[in-house]
Amino acid sequence: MIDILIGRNADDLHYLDIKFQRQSESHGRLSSIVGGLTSSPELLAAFTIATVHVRPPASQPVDPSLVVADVQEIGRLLSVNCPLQSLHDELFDILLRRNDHHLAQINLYFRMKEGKDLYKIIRKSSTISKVTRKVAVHAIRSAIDLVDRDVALLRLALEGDGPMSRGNNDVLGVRVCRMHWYRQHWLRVQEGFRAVMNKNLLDVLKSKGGLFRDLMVALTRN
Amino acid sequence: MPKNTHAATDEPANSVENVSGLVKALEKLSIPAKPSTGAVVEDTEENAPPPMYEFESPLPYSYTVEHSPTNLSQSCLEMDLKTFKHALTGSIPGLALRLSIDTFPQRTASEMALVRSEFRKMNETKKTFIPAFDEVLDVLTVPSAFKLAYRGLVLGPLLFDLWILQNVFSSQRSNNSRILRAERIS
Repeated sequence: MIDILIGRNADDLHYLDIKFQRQSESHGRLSSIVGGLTSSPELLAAFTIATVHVRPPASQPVDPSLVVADVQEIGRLLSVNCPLQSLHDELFDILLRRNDHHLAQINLYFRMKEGKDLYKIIRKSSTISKVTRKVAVHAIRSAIDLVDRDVALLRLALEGDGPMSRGNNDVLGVRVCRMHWYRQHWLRVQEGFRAVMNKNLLDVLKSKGGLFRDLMVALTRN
Repeated sequence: MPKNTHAATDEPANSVENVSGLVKALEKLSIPAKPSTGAVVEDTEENAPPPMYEFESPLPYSYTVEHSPTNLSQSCLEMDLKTFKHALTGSIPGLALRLSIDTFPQRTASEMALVRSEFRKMNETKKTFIPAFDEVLDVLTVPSAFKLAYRGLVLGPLLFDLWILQNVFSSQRSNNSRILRAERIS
């Protein structure tokens, strides 16, 4: 669900919403079912923002003063002991309502100031809940490096893979399928996977079994 | 970006037509039927206009990829339509799906959209495609991960995202755990 609703282009989410309205029995908007998608308050907040508040288009120029204000606010949220409820609401209010260029600028400020990417700082933060971290990291990585993000998503789906574990093939299958439609991107993700893992994604997928392996290999090879 | 597909004379050896003998030989086998539990996602908006995108987005995950021009050859189109037909009305639906594993992944999103559209035109008065296709997938005795990815392959980017959303919603209401597990991990 995070893959589908977070870090998406505003036009894509709008189109998904239109299609949903045409097909749903009530003809309601996507936002009307968000409450039925999850019981997590953090995810509920994130999906509500994503489906109700349209992100500015990618072509909208970045406002430097808003970037500075956002950097200060995120810094404050990460440094003080905010109530959890307030923290994810306020963090998402920035990270899920700015366009990718704006988020990339925010990340750049943190990299200059703290010496590392904002998503790495958030990932290490002990004051933020796991779900909030997951949404925030996904949103930032989507903005700064989509290939890097997708390599990480594949690694997560393959995590625990080995003789004693099957990994999460459902999630892996969905992700490979969603990525394979975008040929150039998919090739870059495979290159990125090889660079990070020092092995070919194709070889990893060949270790799966049966029809699932055949499908994954075909989606990766073609 | 659409890619070249097989030329008209370059039909793969594993076309559905070529294995009709195998189909006949296996036609006495049956697949146990059970009702579909999936939510309905239908590909009926044939004339729906493309989204009013601010610009033609070249970005990954853009749904505009389904509106790209296609150069799917007539022979490939016919082969895919036969696969769909065998999958929905053949005596061994699973066999047609299995045979398509090497061909469908070669199709672009717009090519799969074309195949779905042509299939719908040919079967206007019959049962709508996607619910029927869902039922076929549901009764196959193959891993859930295969069904999910294969469903995505046939539905294309937009309908697959819609299908996932509707099924997570349905699953939450019916306490079905499989998709919920995917949600927790994603």
